[in-house]
Amino acid sequence: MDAFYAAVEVLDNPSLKGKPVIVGGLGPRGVVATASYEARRYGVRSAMPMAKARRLCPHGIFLPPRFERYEEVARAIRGILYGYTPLVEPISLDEAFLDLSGTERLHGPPERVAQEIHRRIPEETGLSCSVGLGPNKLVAKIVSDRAKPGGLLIVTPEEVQRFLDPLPVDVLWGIGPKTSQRLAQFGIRTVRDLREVELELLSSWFGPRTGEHLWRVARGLDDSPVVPSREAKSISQERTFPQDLFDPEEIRAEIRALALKVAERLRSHGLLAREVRIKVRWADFSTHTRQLRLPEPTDHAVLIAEAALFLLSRLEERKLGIRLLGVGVGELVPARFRPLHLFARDDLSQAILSLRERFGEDALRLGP
Amino acid sequence: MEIEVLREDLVFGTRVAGHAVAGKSAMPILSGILLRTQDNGLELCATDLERAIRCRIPAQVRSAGSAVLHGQVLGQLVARLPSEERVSLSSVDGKVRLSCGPSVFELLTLPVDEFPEIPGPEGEPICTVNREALIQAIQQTAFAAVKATETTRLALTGVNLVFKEGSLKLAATNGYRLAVRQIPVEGLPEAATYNALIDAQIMQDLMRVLSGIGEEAVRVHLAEGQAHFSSGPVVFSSRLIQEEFPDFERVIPRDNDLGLFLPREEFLATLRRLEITAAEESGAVTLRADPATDTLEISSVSREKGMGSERIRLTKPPSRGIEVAFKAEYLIDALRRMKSDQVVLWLSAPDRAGLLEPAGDIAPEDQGFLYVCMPVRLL
Repeated sequence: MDAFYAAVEVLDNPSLKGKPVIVGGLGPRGVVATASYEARRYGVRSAMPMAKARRLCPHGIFLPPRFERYEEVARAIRGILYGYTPLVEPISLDEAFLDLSGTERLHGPPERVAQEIHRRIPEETGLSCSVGLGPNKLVAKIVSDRAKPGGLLIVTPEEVQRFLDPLPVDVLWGIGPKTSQRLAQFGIRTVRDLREVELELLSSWFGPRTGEHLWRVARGLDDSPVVPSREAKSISQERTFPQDLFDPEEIRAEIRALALKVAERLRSHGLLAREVRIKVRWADFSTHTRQLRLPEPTDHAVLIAEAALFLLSRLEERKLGIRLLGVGVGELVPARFRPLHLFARDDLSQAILSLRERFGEDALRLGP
Repeated sequence: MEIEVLREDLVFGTRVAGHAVAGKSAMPILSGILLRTQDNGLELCATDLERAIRCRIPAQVRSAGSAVLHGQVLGQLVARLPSEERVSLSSVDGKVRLSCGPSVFELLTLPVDEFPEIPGPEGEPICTVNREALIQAIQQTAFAAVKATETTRLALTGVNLVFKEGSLKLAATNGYRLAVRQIPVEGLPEAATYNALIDAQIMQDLMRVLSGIGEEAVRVHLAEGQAHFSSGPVVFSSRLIQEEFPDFERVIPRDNDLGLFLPREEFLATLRRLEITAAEESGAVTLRADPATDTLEISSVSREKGMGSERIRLTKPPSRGIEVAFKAEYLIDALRRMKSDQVVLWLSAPDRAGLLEPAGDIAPEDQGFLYVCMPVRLL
């Protein structure tokens, strides 16, 4: 996404359009998180001290970040991406790798998917995005950076060398300021310069490991896999209640609502879960957790709710009220497959989730 | 208590009762086996409060009485006794003296009055089942329940016993596959219907106990949250799970139009090979029926191990083609518990349940068996 935080602020407040918007910490030691392209013209960059940004761009619009809102928008964007492949590796809130190999039969050639994503994200979210398509992660990342802002760039395997050659070496992975400085001492400034150095020479300068790495990246070679949702080892939803809960029916209703949210998040991340857990914090702050393993991984709202309610029924009864409830899932796997259930129909879960998406969380709840 | 029993009777009684001895329990008394004299016999009882077993063996009773011995110790000891014919047991100073030929043991006991009351069958049984048929039926269904480590709904950890229309149906499911076996019963009035849900592991223990006795008939009693199965010298009791089993008849796809007739052993062996390269996480293999060649191609692809495929000739030409994926393990689970030479897999669509049944000359062990398996949708 292009200048993501700033773009979301403009989206939510159209009067900011065309103005230099700077999102970041506004305190005395705050730094810039994102600057709109208008602000960048004044030299404002991310990670720059806010005080300096204010000096460079005194009439800028300075805003504190609203991460929950950005997360919400990011989820909608990921939802679009997961429609094409479960192999989505989010790098940050606003950036992700997709592995499109093997999706031709469903969605057509990768070039068409790239075009579609590039068209749909602005259409459906109102935000500008850049899309780069390449034969591997190394190239795709460089291509999408070159496509910014708002562009779509496709580099085929045959074009990789011609595309990389004129670029400065520091666009390549693993070449930071220090390495690029040393390379510059040897007169190596572009990828092409680097490609023309023999492996033995690179190894004698940087050691065999770095040498080989430089030799490979100069040729656009990279075989690192797209690892889906690497951060997501588990997903959980918790709620602290303004007043302690005592009514068993109310407690069960809360568990169901939390399970539904967890199922929604599993779907939006393109994941299935094999483990379900609950967390209960009592009025005296003692906390109990229970977990179980399901026969098959699932993202089915009803099955997750059922498992969570079962765990709840296993907790020993106490006279205390409950101040916090949580439902979580673990043992996550990418939803490359879907085990179908005999009794809990898959289309039911999808229907529940899409109704809630369209009409809001209160549109539909799981009954007892 | 002072009695004399045959060594082999004591070995038998201890082994049978041992199936209900609690392994680890908050109540130490449950790790014991209660021995009590009865007329001219000895009854061995054990319970873990979920199940209870009583086994009666012949004994010469010189003086009546009872004692609770540590189940594991008694089990190990009687299995290793010298090969003498007789064993005598007598209470001495709160211990039990066990002597068999040259060996004499004085075993510590647990307090008899702490041993829980074991409810027994009362009145008439609801019906009688053939022991062998019941063993087969348990063997062909209990495996399909949710594993103990994967508990969700309590109902799915059980085997559902439906006594209806003069027969008994056993059914178990983990939500993704369902195994059903119907067996005949005797003495059940045509209009009578009973429904019981019993933990699958307890049913498997019942199967083991029944396998060790030579009787022909098993009498079934149902009363007050308990089921009792009595056969010859043994009464096996279980608590019922007080939950509703899902309406399994509803999900049996009896209208599936496409029958794939297959040689069972070849189908099983092929699946076992292709399971090796089944996709990680899903364990799925793809079945593709080809009406042009009358073959079923089974293939699997794993990202980490490679891929494989194999063709089986169908024993009847299929009416049309289909491509559907199943978890290999689920099909294997059922096929290896069948005996018939041929099976038929009834299908309708790639996202609809498949129905696996014995076909051709159906082996007596497979009469009344059916298995429903949901496919895996591959994305």
